[in-house]
Amino acid sequence: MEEEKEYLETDVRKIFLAHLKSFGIEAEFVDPNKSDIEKQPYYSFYFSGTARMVDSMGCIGVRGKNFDYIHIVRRG
Amino acid sequence: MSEFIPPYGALPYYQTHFVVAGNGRIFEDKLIARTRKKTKGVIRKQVTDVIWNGGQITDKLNGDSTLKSLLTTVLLEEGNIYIDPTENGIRIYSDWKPEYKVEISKQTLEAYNIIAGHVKSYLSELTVSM
Repeated sequence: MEEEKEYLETDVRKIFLAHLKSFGIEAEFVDPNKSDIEKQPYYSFYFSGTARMVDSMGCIGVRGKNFDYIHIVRRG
Repeated sequence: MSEFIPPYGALPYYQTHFVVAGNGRIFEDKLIARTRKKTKGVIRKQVTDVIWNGGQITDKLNGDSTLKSLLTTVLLEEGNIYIDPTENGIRIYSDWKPEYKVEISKQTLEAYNIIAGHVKSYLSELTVSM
């Protein structure tokens, strides 16, 4: 048990999902093959300074909120 | 493994997009919006006023006083909030954040929820009037 406590989570998606669950929000990872959210483009490029090189990290489906998904993207 | 190896490395900066499902491209000019804030102070920075710039949805967003008061605290951490309609959803996001700041507060989540609510209701109004 002590070893488990010392283990540090480095996956940003898992950190964010655990963070959402701590607020009591029902959320789970979405299979990228089953939704179009992770397909490009992620921006309309209307705003100046929008990043061109962006990687998708993962998508979280949320229930009971006005937004349907949370998509985490990484720069570069 | 891909034959093409990109000569760049991914940077440790992240953005969380709160996506409202639906094709936003159809009503792009009406849904696009971003915040503009007035700040005071340097060490103890305060947001004194927040206004929304953009399409017709800004009338609703600027009229919401609870959202405005919430944004005065939220925008200190988030920078600016953008509503960006794309083909696979209407994306609401803030400025880029470093890895250690990815977690968000309950207030920030509530602000995004209110904004997404306005987007959703406005989107349903537009689809009915079509």
